[in-house]
Amino acid sequence: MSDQNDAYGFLAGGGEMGALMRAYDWQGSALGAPDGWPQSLRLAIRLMLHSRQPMFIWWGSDLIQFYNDAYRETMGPAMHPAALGAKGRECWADIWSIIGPQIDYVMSGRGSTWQDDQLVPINRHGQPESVWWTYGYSPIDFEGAVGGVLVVCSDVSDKHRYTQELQSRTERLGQLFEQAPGFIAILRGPNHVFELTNASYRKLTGRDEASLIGKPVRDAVPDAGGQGFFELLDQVYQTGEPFVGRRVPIELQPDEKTEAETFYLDFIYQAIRESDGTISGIFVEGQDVSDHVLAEERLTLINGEWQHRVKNTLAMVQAIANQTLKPVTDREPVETFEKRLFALSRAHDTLVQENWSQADFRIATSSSLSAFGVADRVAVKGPSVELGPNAILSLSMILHELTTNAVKYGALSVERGHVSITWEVVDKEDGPFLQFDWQEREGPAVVKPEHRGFGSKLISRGIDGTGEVALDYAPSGFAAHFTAPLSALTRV
Amino acid sequence: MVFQRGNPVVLVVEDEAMILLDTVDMLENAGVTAIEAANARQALSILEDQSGVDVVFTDIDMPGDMNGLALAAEIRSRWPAIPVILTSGHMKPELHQLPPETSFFSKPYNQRELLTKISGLISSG
Repeated sequence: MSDQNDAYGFLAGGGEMGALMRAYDWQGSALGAPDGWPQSLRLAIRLMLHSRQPMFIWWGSDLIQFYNDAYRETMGPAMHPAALGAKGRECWADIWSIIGPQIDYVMSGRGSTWQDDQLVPINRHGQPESVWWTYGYSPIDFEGAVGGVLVVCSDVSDKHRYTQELQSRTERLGQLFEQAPGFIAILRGPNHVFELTNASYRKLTGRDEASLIGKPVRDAVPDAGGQGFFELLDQVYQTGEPFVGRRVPIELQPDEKTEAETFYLDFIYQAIRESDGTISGIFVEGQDVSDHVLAEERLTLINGEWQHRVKNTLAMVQAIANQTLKPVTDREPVETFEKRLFALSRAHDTLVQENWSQADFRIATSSSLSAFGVADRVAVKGPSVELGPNAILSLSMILHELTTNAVKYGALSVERGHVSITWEVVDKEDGPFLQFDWQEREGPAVVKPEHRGFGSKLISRGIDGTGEVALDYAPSGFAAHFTAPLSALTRV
Repeated sequence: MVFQRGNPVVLVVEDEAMILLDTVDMLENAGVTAIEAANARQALSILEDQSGVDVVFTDIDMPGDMNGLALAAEIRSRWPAIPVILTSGHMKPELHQLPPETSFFSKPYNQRELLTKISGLISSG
């Protein structure tokens, strides 16, 4: 054994393949015993066995095969260990059409080969598997010619599949961008050169890909000039601060033969940062909201017209009442009626000002009180609460009745008396409630009224008839406490 | 009666007959001589035909080629001495929309406040 070890010194070490090569019966092969192998082959084998890079050698005209542990990892049981010492043409018959010409090229002394990310199927478990390789074939010299081929290779299948996946993902993403309902563009560099646009962007600007890609935005879409957009792009590029535009009008005229058209856009300009933090471009994304804006304008117009009709009708009711009630000698109920009509009209104003579907209770309160000239004696405290039209009308009428009573009989009928109005939203088990309190102080002696008129009936029904009311005729001052579920008060 | 120095003359311009009737009735009860016009054109021809109108009280939203705002502007340029009071079912117009030296009442208006306004305009005029 020691003799053999000396003679096979170049086969020392080398892990599993080293052991297999030492144990192999070379004597009975065409190559003969290893001690007779040429120096260049020995050198190449020693180099190969001690490398962790997958390596493989074909030697001689039969292309007798050697490989190292790293290469062995790339083979399945269908090839290893039978491939060791086998003849190349027989071993790789199924892929000879790929590798045969490359081996011939090197063996015939024409040089070496290099293949990058090449598909070479390998039969690992009885079936050919797709494997991508980056590999090179180099000549091993022997007696002034080429004696064999040294293969240095890497199985790059994982990287190949990853790149493939990335590519298809990028393509998919590109498709999504292209089909997105919003407009999208990517601009590069300080001059905002178009790198990508999607169909919506091209439709909005009225241009095709060829007239945008690769061109600075100022040249490609000159009709957007003078409207502040380019300056905003400059600013975002310089500061990195995103810009968000809402309902921004833009006039575009892609073709001088057609008329300029105004669009309204919701959009964002977002700086694109490289991994080192520098800004390399701007991501443009947005929606054409022209239809919404026009619909809103129409709604405002209709709202205004409708408001005018309602208030005209109230004025006609006033005229009818004036004329009908002319013979009535007791003017007090007539005046009370008129004041209630005005209260209703003011509540209506509040709703129209706030877009009708909802209004802030705080604004409705101050509007209700405005007619009485008692603002300096009424402390109003509460958060902004958006309520629906029914609740606003109801609360305005209740406030009108409370204030009327206070001015006639309560705290506001004497000079030092005052009122505090407070409200808050309280979370209860079955949802949020509006709690609304009217508290009179330092008024005349409090007397519970015997007769219940329209005003007190209205008050005792609560906000929009939905809630609870507690009336307190305490000597310290009349108080009314209202509670109603917010869900009922916000319905439109 | 609100007015001491003779009967002031107020031109009331309003296309809504019921409101016109009631407003004129109220003014006359207060000792005002009220002249009726159903639109801006009619109001202009009345102003052209007769002198002695002290105040014009006009609705803004009226049919025809001229609304109350245009009428007020016309009066301001042709009869600058006649004060104009505007009214509308719309919310108070923006200040820049109102011709100078005009007042505004939102419909339905408090008739007592209107009378106070008219009497103030006449006594200062």
